[in-house]
Amino acid sequence: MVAINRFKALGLRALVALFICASSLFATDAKAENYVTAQGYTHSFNNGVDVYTAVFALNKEFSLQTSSYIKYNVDFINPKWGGSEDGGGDGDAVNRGATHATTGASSAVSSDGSQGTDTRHAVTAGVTHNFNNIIGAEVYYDYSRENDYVSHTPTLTIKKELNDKNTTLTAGYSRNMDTVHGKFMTTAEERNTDNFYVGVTQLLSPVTVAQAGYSRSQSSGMESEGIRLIPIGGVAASTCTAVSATCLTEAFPDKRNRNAFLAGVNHYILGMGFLNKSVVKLNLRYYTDDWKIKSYTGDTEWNKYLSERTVLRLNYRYYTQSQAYFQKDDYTAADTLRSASSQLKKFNSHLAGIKLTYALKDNVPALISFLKQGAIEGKYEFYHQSLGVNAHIMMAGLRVPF
Amino acid sequence: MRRFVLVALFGAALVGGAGCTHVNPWEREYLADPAMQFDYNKEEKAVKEHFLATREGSAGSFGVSGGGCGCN
Repeated sequence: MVAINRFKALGLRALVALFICASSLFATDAKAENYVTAQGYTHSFNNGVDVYTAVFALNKEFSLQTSSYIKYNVDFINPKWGGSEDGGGDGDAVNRGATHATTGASSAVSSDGSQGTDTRHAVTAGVTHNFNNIIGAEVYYDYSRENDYVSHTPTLTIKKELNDKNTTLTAGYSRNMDTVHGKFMTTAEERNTDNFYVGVTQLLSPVTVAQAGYSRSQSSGMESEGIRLIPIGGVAASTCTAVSATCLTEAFPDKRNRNAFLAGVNHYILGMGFLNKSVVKLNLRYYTDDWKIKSYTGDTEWNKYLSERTVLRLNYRYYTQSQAYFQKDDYTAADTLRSASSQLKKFNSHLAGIKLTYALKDNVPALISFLKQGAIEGKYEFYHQSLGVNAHIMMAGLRVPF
Repeated sequence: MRRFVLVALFGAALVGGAGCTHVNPWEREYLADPAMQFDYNKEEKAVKEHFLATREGSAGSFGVSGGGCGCN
């Protein structure tokens, strides 16, 4: 009951805030980039973890040069409707639950096998401005909070269009300022990450656009989440419910430098029979870091206009990574670096999905005629990891331009 | 550093490609299609990236939102 009341109170506050923002913003002239969207997601894992997500977002152009954006995201991880959250408490800045924003659903199963429950709230707000058609700037601020994790992230992106807008150069910087207080940590600790990005988008033809980019992250501080224990000297993992001489916390290096290289191409297909009026996308990513993890990602999408109103999307993603240099199956007390995180192991994964988007147009009652420009969308995806984790992902959404 | 150079060269090749191909504003009907955008549904993209970041070890370093097709 406590959780339900809290959910209702938070939901009501979010809706009121969104309404106030929308009311003030709708007062100005409507432009093509204006939209509101609401989306709901479920992620159901085969280890018993369920995550329910709701997203509300509003994008509003004030002029051809300036637009604003606000988004609210809430994740309910293993919600116990009518119960209370692990380690929860409204008054604590950083409570000590068993789950974690960054590790998310996987860590909802703590080292002793118990199911944790948590709620993550995230707010994003930002402004985009084009300075005299010479250079564009985007400023965003993200705030995310859950029981054992608080994160602040300001982001600045600069864009420059060249060659009659055939080329767009992008440079960005963001800084993650995180406070981590996992279940097995005695005090909260900080982690700061600087992210740099440079990229270029290039029109290759009237039906083809390509993108390439490089990003680097430099992180320092508390790199683990403090939510897992590692059995030492052959003791059973199931006996590790508290820190002891034979059950130690994870110990990661206190710095991590990451590099990622991205390339992608989108192509609009004309002709070719059934493929006519469809879009194919291909994205490749190579990643490497100084923990000796390397990964390769291939991500492809096919969007097909089944009719004037209906778009079908099929997508598939393959991912493979090597393991961190300190990752082992068994640790001894002499090991100064220890991990029980599946994220640092060697594995590969597949993600496949189908999505349908349907434009409402005139198929709406007069009472809700403002939806006639909108579209409803729904998708199903299946995720499989070679370590044995599967997930069913479902999404339903409504997007309304205004 | 070697990989950075390779990506820089790839980026330079893309930019250099502009010298070979020039798409005029009136030729961008298909490029302006929402399905042709790299991040048209950025809310869905964010949820997906968060989900993957919770499962996989090379999370982060995705870069920041950027790019575009020069359609507007």
